[in-house]
Amino acid sequence: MVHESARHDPIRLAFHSTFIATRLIAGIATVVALPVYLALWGAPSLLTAACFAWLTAPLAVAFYLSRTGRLARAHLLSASTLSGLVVFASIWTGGATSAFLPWLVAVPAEAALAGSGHIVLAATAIAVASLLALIGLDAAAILPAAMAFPVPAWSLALFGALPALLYAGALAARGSAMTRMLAETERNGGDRLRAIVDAAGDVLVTLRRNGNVTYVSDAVDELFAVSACTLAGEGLFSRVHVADRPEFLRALDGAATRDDTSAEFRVRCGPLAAAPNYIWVEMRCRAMGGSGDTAPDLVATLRDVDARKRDETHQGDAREKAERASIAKGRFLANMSHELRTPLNAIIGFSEILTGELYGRLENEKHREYAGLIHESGNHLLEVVNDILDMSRIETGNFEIFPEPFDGKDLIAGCCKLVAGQAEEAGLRIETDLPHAMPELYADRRACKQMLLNLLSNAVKFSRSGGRIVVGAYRDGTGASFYVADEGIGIPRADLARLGDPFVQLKQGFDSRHAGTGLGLSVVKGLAALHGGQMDIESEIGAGTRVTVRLPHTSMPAPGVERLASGEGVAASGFRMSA
Amino acid sequence: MAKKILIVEDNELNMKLFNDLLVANGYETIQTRQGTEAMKLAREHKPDLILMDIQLPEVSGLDVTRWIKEDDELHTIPVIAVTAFAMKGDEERIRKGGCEAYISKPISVAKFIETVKHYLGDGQGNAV
Repeated sequence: MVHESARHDPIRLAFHSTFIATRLIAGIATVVALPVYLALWGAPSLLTAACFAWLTAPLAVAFYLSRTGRLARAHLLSASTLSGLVVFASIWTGGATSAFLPWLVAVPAEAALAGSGHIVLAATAIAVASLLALIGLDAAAILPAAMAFPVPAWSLALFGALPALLYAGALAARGSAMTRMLAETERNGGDRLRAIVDAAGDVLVTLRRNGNVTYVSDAVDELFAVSACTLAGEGLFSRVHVADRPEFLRALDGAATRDDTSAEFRVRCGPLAAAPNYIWVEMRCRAMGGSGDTAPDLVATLRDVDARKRDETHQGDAREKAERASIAKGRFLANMSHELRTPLNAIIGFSEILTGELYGRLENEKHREYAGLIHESGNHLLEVVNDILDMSRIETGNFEIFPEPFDGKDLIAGCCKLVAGQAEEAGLRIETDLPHAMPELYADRRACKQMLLNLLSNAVKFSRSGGRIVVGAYRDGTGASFYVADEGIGIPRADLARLGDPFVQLKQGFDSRHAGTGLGLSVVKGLAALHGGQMDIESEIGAGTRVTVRLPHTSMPAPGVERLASGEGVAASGFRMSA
Repeated sequence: MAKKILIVEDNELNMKLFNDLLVANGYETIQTRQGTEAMKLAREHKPDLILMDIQLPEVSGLDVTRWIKEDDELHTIPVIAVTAFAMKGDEERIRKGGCEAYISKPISVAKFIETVKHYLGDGQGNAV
């Protein structure tokens, strides 16, 4: 019969069932008493009939609680009906001197079983108001004369006051039983809770918002090597590392005012007399059912996270070290770049003046040849330096790419123009193989230019006079690809797999003219990878080589800090040549 | 009369290279290794063009360029930055700093002369 909402909580269940049971007994007693009355005194007067009707009201109230589950309202209803009945009966039986008045005592007694001070107060107020109203009516002398009963006066007291006393006694007995039950439930609950806490292995603490500990579970002994009582009050707070105290208090504050919080802080272990020894703990904190205006107490679990925390610290140190090394490397690269380019400027520039015979003709053929060789070697060295720097930056993640949409056709045409002179000199034709609807490339423009130039200069270097170089591009799935194919000497199968690995030099098969560091392709491969793409090489000895760079539709820029603007200088001074 | 070019460059060899190239092309040069001296020389000689190394020992070539561009008397003189310090964003930074052009080291002789001639308004230069 108890309402759904109260069935699962043993305490609420007790309150509800007690209420319903007492009202049912009262109501049923009335129904049973009616035939007895009829047998003894015959048909009741109108007033008595009204009393009987009124006495069945508890049945309705019990029904109300059973249907709605509203205990407080049911109690107030009950208090009102009982008080009303007592006043009504007293009006006809002697007013302020009526033998039924003791029944008013039952009103707060009933309410005591609601388990709420507010309801007891309200019920008491109703009973007092009823009594005062009755006294008022009596004093105003507007009450009817006391009904004459065909029984002695003492029997009125017996039938009027005695049941009230017995009823109040029964309520008190029930109340005391419920108190015992509540205590029992609480103890059981406490024991169960403690067992759960112990099983979880965490330390359970209840504390106030200011960090004062009100309870701490015994497991604390294991965690902090101190007894539970030393942490009581300010004991815990005083052991929290000074630097971590704000964090600790923030977590408590957060749990008290907003939501569950967690914090990690260091707590000093062992006796205070010993050398300080801190361990990291994690605290999860939540408010414990506060009742509105007063700051709620908090319950928190403490867990040892020392090992994890120390690992993290080590990792952080290692990361910081790596970052510092990376920055140092970047700075080193920038300096290298400057220091190498400055003397190269003189070497390339002066040898160019000589070969260009700016100050008059070099009479000796050998001198002209040497000047040319110095210039050529200077340019070669510059390319190697550029490749090494680029490769280092790609490897260290310092090469930043900025993808943008651009017209691949223009870029390819531009690159072909840049190597045209060189190709012509070597007796080579450069052809393009571009679709009518050339897909727009979405990539770092400069990186693409560098990749194309590296591939083209390789093709020029490894082709035989009279050969053909084809540069092409096409849509490739959702992305785009470009390729450079030559009819040159080809690459031995054994070397194919190793190509593109930085700092790997191919063993043989090339005459001195083709000497290179192998960095050119590594740079292409690295740049393609930075775009999330890839480089593929197909080659056949004596037939030629085709290198394809595939770029995905959206290139993911790799993280990096800076890069050399080497492309501009290279484009201005000639071509990147390296095998 | 030969056009005058002020070269601000701290590296001796590069100074010589630029000087010889410019002289070979019929220009007159004024040289300084110090950015701090550049202003004084510019006021004194009123050069037609300034070649500015960006990495100078005392003050940055960018600072010197800014001084020139803020000077009522000198701000019309074109400044070409020449630098080996060619990191990402340098070109933008240098152009923003007021330089008319930017040449990265190592230079290409042909490109170098072409750029200089362009900013002097010499189609053919005044070669010897």
